[in-house]
Amino acid sequence: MNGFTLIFGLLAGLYGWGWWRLERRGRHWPRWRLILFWGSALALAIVLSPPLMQWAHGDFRGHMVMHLVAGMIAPLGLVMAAPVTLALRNVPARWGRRWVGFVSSLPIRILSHPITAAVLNIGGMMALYLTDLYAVMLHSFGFALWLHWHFIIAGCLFNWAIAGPDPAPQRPTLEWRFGVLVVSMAVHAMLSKWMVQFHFPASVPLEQVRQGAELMLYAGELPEALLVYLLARQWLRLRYRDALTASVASDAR
Amino acid sequence: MNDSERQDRVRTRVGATLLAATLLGIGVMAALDEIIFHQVLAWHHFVETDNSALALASDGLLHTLELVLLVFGAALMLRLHETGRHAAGYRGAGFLLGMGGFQLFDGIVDHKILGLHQVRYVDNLLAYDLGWNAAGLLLLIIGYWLLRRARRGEAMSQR
Repeated sequence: MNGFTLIFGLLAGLYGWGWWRLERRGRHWPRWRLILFWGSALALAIVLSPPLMQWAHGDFRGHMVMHLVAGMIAPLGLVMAAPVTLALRNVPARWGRRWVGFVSSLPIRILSHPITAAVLNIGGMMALYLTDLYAVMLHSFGFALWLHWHFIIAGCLFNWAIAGPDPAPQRPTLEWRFGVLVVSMAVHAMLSKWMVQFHFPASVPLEQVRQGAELMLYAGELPEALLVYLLARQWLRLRYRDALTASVASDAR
Repeated sequence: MNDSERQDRVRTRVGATLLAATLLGIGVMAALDEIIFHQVLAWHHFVETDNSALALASDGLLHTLELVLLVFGAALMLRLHETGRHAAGYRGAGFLLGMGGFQLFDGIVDHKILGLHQVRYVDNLLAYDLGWNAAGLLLLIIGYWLLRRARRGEAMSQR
C-alpha cells in the first residue's frame, strides 16, 4: 500500500459511483468499460506497489515491466473506458459545455496534439535511457516519483490524442493521427535496438539491457497493435458504411 | 434512388479485398519469420554486433510497418466482410502474393542490401539464400496463378 494505491483506488471508486448513478436512472453505460477501467486502475496499483517498485529499482527488466504497464497498457485501458464522457453524463449540461470550451482552448489543443503527446512520451524515454537521467532516477526518490506520473499522464494523453473516445473538439485528421502513431511506434522499436547495440543506460549491465529492450519491443507491440486497430476501425467505419444504413439513409432523403 | 444505384453501394471491392489480403500475407510472413527464425530456431538475433545505427533504425521502421500492415489488413478485411463488400476469389491470391513478396523482399533487401542479418551463420550461406528466395518466388507464382483464376471468374471460393 502506498499513495498510488490510494489514488487509483479512489479513481476506480469514482468511476464505479458514476456508473452506478447512471444505472440507477436506467441510462445505459457498457459494463465492459467499467471492467476495463477497474482492471487498468488495479494494474497500476499493482505495478506501483512497494514490492514491485523495489524489483524495478534493482533490475532493469522490472523497470521495463513497470514502464510497459504504467506507461502503455494501463493508460490505453483508462482512456478507452471514456471516463470524461461518463463524468459529463453525471453532471449538469453547462459543466459539459464549459469542459468542451476548456479542451478547445489553444493551450490544451497544443498539449493534446498527437505530436506533443508523442514527444512527451518517446522524448521522455529517450531522455531517460540515452542520458545519465536513469542513474539520477535511481538515486532520487522525488525524481522517480515525478517520472512515474509523467509516463502515466503522457501515456493517457497520447492514447486520447490518437484514438480516445472522450470529447476532443478540433482534433487533427485521421491521416495525421495515423502518421504520428506509426512514427512513434518506429522510434520506440528503434530505441530498443539502439539501447542494446550502444549499451544504454550505461549504468545497467548489458545482459539486463538486452532482456529489458526485448521486452520493450515485443511486449510493447501489444498495446500499440490495439491502438492501430482501434484507429483503423474508426476510419473504416466511415469509409465503408453499413450497406443497410446507407440505403435507408438515402431513401429518407 | 433506383435499384442499380443501391446495388452499386454494396458492390464488392476487388481492389480493397486484394489490398487487405496482401497486407495480411505480408504481416503473417513477417510474424512467421520473427517467430520461427528469430525466436524458436534463433538462427539470427535481435541485434548483430556489426549493425550500424542506421541499419537498426531501418530495421525498427520495417518491424513497425509489418505490425501496422498486419493489423490494418485484418481491420480492413473484417470491415469488408461485415458490410458484404469482399471479393471472395481474390483473398487467397492477395494473401500468397503478400507472403511471397515479403519473403523475397526480406531475402534481398534485409539480408543482402541492408545486411541486417543472414539467414543462418554457416559456411554454405548461398544454399540458404537460394532456398529462402526460391520459397518466396514460388509463393508469388502460386499467388499470381490464383489471381488470374479470380480474374477469369474461376476462383475456388465464390462466397
